[in-house]
Amino acid sequence: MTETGKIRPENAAERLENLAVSYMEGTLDEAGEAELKAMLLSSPGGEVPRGYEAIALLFRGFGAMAQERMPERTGRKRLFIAAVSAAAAAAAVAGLFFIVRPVYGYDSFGKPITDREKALSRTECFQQLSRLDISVKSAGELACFLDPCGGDECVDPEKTDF
Amino acid sequence: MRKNLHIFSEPVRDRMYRYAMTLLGDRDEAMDAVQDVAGKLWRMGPAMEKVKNPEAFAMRSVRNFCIDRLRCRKSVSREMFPEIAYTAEADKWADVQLVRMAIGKLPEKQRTVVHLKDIEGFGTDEIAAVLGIQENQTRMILSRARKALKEIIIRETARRTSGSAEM
Repeated sequence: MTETGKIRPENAAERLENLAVSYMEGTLDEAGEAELKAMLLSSPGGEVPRGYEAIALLFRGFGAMAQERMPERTGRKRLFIAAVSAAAAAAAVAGLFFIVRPVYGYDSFGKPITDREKALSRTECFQQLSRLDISVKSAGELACFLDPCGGDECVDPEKTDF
Repeated sequence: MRKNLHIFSEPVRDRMYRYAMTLLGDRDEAMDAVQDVAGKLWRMGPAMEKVKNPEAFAMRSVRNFCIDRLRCRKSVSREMFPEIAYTAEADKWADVQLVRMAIGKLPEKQRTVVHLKDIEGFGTDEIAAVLGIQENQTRMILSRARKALKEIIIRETARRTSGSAEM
């Protein structure tokens, strides 16, 4: 080292060799590794010292690989995934619609009635029928009261001779 | 609120992808590996909070996935590595291809150690945690891997130089 803090050329070669040996042994710390990279990749004119080309190439390759990012899926596979996702989403929406849709009642075949208007009209129809049934019953009872024998000659059971 | 959510962040995802890419050498398979591992980690739920080093755990999961995939392959072609899309300069591209090819020729453990140390910048203690080995063993594997890489690159560069000189 000179008084100005710069490394003499012969010392620089020695330092480079020491760093490279430690690097290859796997014992170089982070600071040493940064120094070695700087010596190999930032040399003036971009020239790598003879004998260290392979390590310099490794550093360049590692550096470029470290910047690689995960790509988005493209092409057929992506289209297939999108199509499957869309179909699954549509099926889920349809399923949800059928699950959430309220059942107002069941018809005579046991099928659920999910149409509100249909269910209402059906209920009204039943109510009308029920009223009609009551009216018919009332009329029958009245007829029976007025004419218990239904137009035939009445028979007194006590006078009947068997 | 779940802790350790950073393992689902983009930088970690990219890191898992690069690692899977180094081990498998196939872009689609590497993406499958990341998605599979991320899904498994997410499904772990609260159990993930007990993991001391989630990132090392994630990388170990990627490694397990990749080893399973490699076992499923009938023959692994270490020569075949896909082109990478992001490089702009041709020399940079050539460097990466050469380094990737050289890494692909290493045994799996050496590949893992050299990738995590020289590409991802992991410490030897973290790599030891991923591989489940001692730190001094990690350094030994790293040393062997770097020496092997240097040899492969010297040999390959000489071969290419002689090949282009003959033409």
